[in-house]
Amino acid sequence: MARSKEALIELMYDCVVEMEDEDVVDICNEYLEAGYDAYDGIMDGLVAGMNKASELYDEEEYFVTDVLLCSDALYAGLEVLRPHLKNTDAQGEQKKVVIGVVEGDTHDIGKNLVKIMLETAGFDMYDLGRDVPLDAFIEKAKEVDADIIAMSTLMTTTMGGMGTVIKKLEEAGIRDKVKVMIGGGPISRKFADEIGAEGYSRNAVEAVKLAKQLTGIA
Amino acid sequence: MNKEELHELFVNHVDEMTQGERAMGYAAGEEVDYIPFSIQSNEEAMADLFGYTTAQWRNDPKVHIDVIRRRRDEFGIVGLAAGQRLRTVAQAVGTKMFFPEVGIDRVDTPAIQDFNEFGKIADNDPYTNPVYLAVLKRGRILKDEFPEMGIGTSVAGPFTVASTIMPIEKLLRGTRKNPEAVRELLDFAVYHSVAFVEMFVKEFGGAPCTICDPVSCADILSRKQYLEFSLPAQEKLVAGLTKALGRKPGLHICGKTNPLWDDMAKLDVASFSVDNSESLEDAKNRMGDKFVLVGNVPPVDVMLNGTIDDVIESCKSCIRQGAESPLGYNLGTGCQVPIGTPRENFEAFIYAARTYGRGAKKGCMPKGMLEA
Repeated sequence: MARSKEALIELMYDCVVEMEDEDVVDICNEYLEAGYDAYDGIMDGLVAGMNKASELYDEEEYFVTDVLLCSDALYAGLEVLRPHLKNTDAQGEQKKVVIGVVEGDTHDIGKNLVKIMLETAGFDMYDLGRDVPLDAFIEKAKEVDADIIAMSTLMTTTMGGMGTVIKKLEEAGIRDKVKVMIGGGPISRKFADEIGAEGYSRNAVEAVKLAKQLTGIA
Repeated sequence: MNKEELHELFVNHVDEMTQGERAMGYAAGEEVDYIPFSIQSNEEAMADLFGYTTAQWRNDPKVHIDVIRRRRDEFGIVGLAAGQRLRTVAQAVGTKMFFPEVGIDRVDTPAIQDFNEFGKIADNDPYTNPVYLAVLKRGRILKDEFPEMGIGTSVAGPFTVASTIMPIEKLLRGTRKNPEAVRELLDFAVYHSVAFVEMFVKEFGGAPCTICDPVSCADILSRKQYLEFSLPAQEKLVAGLTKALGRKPGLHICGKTNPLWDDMAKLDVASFSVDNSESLEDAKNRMGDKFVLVGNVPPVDVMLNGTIDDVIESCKSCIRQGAESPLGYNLGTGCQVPIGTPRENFEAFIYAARTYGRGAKKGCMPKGMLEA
């Protein structure tokens, strides 16, 4: 007997939480073949599972590796379901975040966690990667009309680049259009205040709350 | 205190003991003039202070010699280092590195992209590796210039080395999906680090050695991963180094380590340098009977960006928390001191060690603190 929509959604959720990046593909295919709605599968199954993983990370039940493996399952499922989204599924305007590790630094695991969690929380992510030239943040923010620029670094020698990006936003005349949030090993609330960044968060879970506050959705 | 007052006090101080006498006396349980201190990995910051770029210090032995000389003459700090940096093994086996003009070197492209490429690096012979030979050659130049100074060495911890040989996210996924391959890579890291130290000992004899293992922290690894992967590799490394050096190495792990302390206590190391993201007092209570503790003045918020008074207060707070640690305590920074740290903050740190660490004895609050 074919499984119900609800049962398959629950299995997708479990696959993400349990890091089953192969099983999730089979479940998503079965879900589509049964004619169920892709959008519901994504939101109530995959994304809800990833939100649970974030919650477990916040509670220190899950660690970095778990989040990475959950996200592998999330993305594997999304690859199957996304092409089947209907145009009407777009849920209003998503807030846009340009994210990257600033020039001179290649430590990007923290940035990648923030990206995964913001994406799961419904933000439209533009990931510039690591060792990102400072002007690239401005150019991308202009190009996509970003709501937030999120920057990270682990090095003291590259922290200054974050302040430079804020100055460049002013010079480009778009400082009031975009919020800046920063994080990383040597970064502090005090440093964020000094360079005029609106937000600082200590970890990826806090970064989601912060991004929601900064964009007025929480 | 302002810069001028501090400088006046700083330059007019006359040490009663040499750095070596102080360290030996303190370790032997004698009262010393003041508490031994360690400003972690300060050569890059000192080079900057003396007007050199990191690249000049890295590439030109004459600049390196001048940094060591001025550090001795202007701050009274002696000692030479010929050790691995965090990414030296990676560089030696083919990771493409980037060395900035000012700043710490970084990984550009890891030597291997996945475990199935391990064969590309597996046969690399450490004993003839030009990267290690160059480190030792620099050490020889320094030792010939300053024969009276001791020379120490350092290695990176196995998990840290592995994360610079291949992309860390793949390494972490591997702990679930390919645990045997992770262990193989960790063993490879241990083999290279021990071999490097054997080469060091052949050149310079037994000496102090520090293991730096920033990736092996609870911010990145779960306790389960630490127990299954990192700790067994650290134990092998410690055994190999101790055999080669004839003495136990010290250990520094950056970031959060508190959830791992009870497990780390199994490591047979001489000292543990506590990162500033942890409480020194807690470390004393949990590990003070296992290791000499070192730490943990915040490098960025205090050493780089703090005032003179911030540095002095932070040093006092650390001495207060750490001094009574049963096996001993050295005042230290919580991690590497950043490039750009101002001269007066180095002076303030050393001034605080001399003043509030005065009359230090293992396991006891120094007289300088009791009289303050």
